[in-house]
Amino acid sequence: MSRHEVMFEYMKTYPNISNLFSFDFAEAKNNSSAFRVIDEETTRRDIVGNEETTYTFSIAEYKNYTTEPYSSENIENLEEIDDFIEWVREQNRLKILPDFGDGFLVDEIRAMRSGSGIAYVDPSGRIAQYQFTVKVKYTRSY
Amino acid sequence: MAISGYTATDFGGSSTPTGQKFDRKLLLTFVNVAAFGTNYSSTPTWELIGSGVEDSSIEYNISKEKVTDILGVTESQVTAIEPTQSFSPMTVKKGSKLHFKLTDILERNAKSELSLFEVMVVRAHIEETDSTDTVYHAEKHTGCTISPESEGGSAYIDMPISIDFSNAKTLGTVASLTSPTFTALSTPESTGD
Repeated sequence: MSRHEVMFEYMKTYPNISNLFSFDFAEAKNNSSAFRVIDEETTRRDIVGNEETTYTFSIAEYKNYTTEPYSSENIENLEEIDDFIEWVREQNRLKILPDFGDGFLVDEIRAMRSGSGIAYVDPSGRIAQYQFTVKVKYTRSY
Repeated sequence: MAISGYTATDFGGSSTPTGQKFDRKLLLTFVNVAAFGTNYSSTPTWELIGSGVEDSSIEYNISKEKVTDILGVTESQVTAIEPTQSFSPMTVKKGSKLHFKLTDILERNAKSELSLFEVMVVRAHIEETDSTDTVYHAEKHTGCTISPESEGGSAYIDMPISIDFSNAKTLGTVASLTSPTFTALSTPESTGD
């Protein structure tokens, strides 16, 4: 499997992932979500030829939102972001990390608080796009 | 491929373009981690040193004496070459036999064992070829000292080290850079004064 496929399958193990989880594109309707690769950047090389790379992706999730005052719906949406970030943190702590295959060693996975939140609002459909950004640091050996 | 002596007259191979630079990963330092201890084996196991280390150089520490004569001519003499090499941060990882050995020595305070290491330097940017095989220049030092500089760090356990090469060396070649086997030159070249 490619690294994208591995991450896609890994994210499907998140207990609260939407049942309408898809790769790259998703319908803008409540509880659909999409996995998107943002970047894959080699940050350093060591003297024996290993490369440390950061793989960045986002989960875009579409949720109904409301402009009703005192409504708990929007707060619940943000709490879902917190729950996701906490799940990633726990996976990292327990070293339950994605497996990119021979020659690759995943060092850590982190959900970024910065870059996670409301990314887009469609007022006509009362749909908001929430985004979670995740970075996976891995070492590739040659 | 056993060779009698070095015959290379330039870096790289016959197909290497003139002026091409060589990646740092072609200068390799290995430590024999099977040389002594409870898992002693007469067959060397060469562990590559430097994973996670972004910069490391063999420092030659050349000592010189200079004399200026009455004609104003300065004559220099090299009196010693004492190579050393440091590696940092050297994060401790499962599977690192060298780190495990150093930790064992530190736990037992067996400081004399720090000077019993065999270290091999491979210059993979210098090739020797015959009609079928390519091998790379290598030199094996016995009785080297490997000093753990510290143990700890911030996010992970680091154990930076420094190697003092003994200069009690044998020249030879290796054919593989991933699982090297050192083959000494059949006609040893002079390695001393």
